[in-house]
Amino acid sequence: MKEQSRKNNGKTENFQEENAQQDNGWKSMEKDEWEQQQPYLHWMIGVEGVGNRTIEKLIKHAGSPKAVYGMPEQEMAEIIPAGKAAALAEAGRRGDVLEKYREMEERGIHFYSPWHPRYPGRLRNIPDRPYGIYVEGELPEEEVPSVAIIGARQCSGYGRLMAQLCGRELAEAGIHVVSGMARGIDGISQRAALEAGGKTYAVLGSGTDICYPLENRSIYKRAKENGAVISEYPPGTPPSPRLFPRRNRIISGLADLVLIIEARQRSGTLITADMALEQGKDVYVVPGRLTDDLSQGCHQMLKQGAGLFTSVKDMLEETGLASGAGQVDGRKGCPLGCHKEPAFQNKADKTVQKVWDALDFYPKDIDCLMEETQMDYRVLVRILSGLCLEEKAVRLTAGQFMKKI
Amino acid sequence: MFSTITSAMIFGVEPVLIHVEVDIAQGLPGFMLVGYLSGEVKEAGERVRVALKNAGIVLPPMRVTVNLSPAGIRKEGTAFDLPIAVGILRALGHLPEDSTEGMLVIGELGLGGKANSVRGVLPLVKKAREEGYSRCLLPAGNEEEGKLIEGVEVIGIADIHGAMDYLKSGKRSECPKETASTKSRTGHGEEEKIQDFSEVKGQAAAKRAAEIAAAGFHNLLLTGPPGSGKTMIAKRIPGILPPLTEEESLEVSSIYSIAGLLSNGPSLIRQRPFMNPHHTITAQALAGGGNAAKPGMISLAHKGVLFMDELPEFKTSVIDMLRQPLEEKKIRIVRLGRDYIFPADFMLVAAMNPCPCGYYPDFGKCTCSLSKIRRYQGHISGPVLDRIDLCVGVSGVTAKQLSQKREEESSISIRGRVLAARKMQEERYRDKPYRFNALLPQADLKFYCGLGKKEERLMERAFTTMEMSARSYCRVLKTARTIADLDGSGDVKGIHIEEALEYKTGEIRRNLEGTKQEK
Repeated sequence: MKEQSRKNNGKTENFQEENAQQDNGWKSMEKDEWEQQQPYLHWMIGVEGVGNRTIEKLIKHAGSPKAVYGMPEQEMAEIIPAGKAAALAEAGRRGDVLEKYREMEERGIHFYSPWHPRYPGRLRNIPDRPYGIYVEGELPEEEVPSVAIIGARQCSGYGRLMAQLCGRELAEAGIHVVSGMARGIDGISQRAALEAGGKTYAVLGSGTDICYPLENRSIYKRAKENGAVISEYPPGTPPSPRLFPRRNRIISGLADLVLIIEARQRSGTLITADMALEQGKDVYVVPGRLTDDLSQGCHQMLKQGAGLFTSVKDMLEETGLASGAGQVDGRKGCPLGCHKEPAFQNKADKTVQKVWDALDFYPKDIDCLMEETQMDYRVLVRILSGLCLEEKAVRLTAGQFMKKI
Repeated sequence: MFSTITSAMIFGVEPVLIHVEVDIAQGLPGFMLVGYLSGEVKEAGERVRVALKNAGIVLPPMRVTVNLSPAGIRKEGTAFDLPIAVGILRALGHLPEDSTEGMLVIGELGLGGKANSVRGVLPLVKKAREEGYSRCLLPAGNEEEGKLIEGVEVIGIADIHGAMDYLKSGKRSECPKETASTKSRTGHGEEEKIQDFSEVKGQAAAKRAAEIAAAGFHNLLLTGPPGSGKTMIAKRIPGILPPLTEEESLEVSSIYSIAGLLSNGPSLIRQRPFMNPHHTITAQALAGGGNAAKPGMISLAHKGVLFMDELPEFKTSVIDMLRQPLEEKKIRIVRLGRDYIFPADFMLVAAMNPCPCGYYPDFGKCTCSLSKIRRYQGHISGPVLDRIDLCVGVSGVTAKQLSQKREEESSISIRGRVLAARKMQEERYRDKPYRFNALLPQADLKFYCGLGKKEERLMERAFTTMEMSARSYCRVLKTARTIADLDGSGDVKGIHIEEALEYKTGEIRRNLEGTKQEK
């Protein structure tokens, strides 16, 4: 970990200076002033082809977004490519900047630029910070710790289990869970957090008014009420593969700590982890089995010095986040300790106990269980059915069982 | 000079009596054939004329009119050659007036006058018996098949001369007996050795599910990775099904006769059919149809097993086509403005991989994306999945299991339990139109699967925790009923329900995301 941050040190200083310069600007501003600036920034972000770098150049030149709006096309073309200048001028000629901004606010989508006092403090200090974020819901509270849980879209049963567990325990500890609402680990952990009554922040790779992927609709809906849906892209931006890697820097940016559950080698998850390190955030990794492809990326991170996840409690204590958070149940050591072994006291339950012991947190098929328990098929099936009914075990597909958390 | 001969043809799978009316009168010499005829029947005129000539019978230069009545049904097939020839001979006075009294005549003629065998003899002769005919004149090649029906005198003739000799004298001339070939027939036939369940090592779950399916005539879905033995198990299911009853045997044989698959057979089909269509099959080949509507694969699987290997590889339209036959046990096909109804009371056994590569949910091995898996499983529509009572996972076999010396149960002993369970069902459903648990209608479910308080609570619990639909609730009950029958238990008990829950379908899709799919 130390080695990592040292590597990034030079870069870090650089962007921090720049960010600080900008920030000094807004601190001296009156309320009216930054409020006036915001619609024009929104206008600039909304023009196709205009990115962070273009905006930066223009603002440096003109002094403020509002001043950029007043610039003639020829002047703009001197500092930025002519095509972009033309697009900006074209959008400016419509003259509906303020109206459009108001419309958006009325739809419940709030825009926060770095000039806004409520722009998340965590984002202020990251490289290439967004010039504005669109938020549906509430911004994360600054004093409450937040943890980003990221991982493979196509996760294993084990990954699913860990995502559920971490999402739930973090939410129970009152910690915000930040993620990308993607399929797999992202969505599972966010859903678990919501179900445990916590707050979650979904950073999207599309406009906040578009739910992608569609199967996570319920997270999308519930996150707006318990947390927020956040994006740096203006409303109406369709999801596109080139937008996703960029939004990852906001996921790690909004978090104090990034937790990785299952990542293949050379995966998007690892890119996010690199960004987190660049931003100076702690990275924790849930270890996996050596034989799984999905563990390779995780173990690579561990080798490079990432924190080894042993339990939510340990992780929060080690990173000092626990103090800001609520109490995590002292379920000593084992991250799965939360699952108290079911009490099978009387003698009749001996066989049930035997089956329970044979079950694991990854899917096992009936033949395998038969061999381990040396039980007759029909007896075994009945017990398994019973365990499923008591919600102690789950049946994945036909003949595949695992313990339930 | 007029004569009427009774013949018959197959309409779909229904035999229909056709009257061949022949009139020979003065007039411009000619040969007229009328009565809504298809191509092959129109050609009968030419065949008959030449066949008669070559048999040494000279047609006088008169006007011959042949009508096939009722004129409203389209006549198909080649079985009208012989009745037309016989009709002409009688109209010409070569045969006694009463020689064809109470007689059904069918057969095709060659140009040399030889009688060739035709399809569908079994149901036609059966129809003749039902209609009160006492004799059937058939080509010698069909004699054996016709004789399978008792109560009708079946006369096989080699050629026109043979027919004339018999009709004149009432005695059969010695005809060179056609040697029935003994080549084995695929799909049925006693010669084919059925494979035994004792050859399947391990796979307790799949075997047990097969047993339950056989006992209650439930449809069965086997899922599992490639090479785990799904096909092996499916192929052994006919061996544990009870033998065909006399009535069923006749029904099945009739269908095979119509399909032309019985022509050389020495006897009725006694063994349950096992049909194994390839997944490139068209909906028509599976359902039946064609110009002269022929029974399809599902009808050939009547009273037996239709095994669809690699179910998602079948065209979606083909899979969806199964809905009606699975529900009504027959299929209605409209061809050329006519309705044909084919029986299709089969037991569907389907096998599929859980995903294109076959290893889901083992993500260590599975290389498919979730959307790919979902698309793959989505090929099987809900309504079809809904009609499958049992779903069972077949896991990959380990080398250890294969080398195990442990004696596996043989098909015969499994069949013993199946027979006992079926007997219970037969007694229970004595006065009902259905005979198996799988066909139990919802209205009667409560009566026959009465639950105690404890069992009631168990089902309620399962209903909520497993998020069952009303339909899957019924399916679990039906399966539990069969399991109880296998145990010889009159009541459905908790243990039966618990086991039945293991075979619940519908989960394949729901569990993809680990959490429930959102509406």
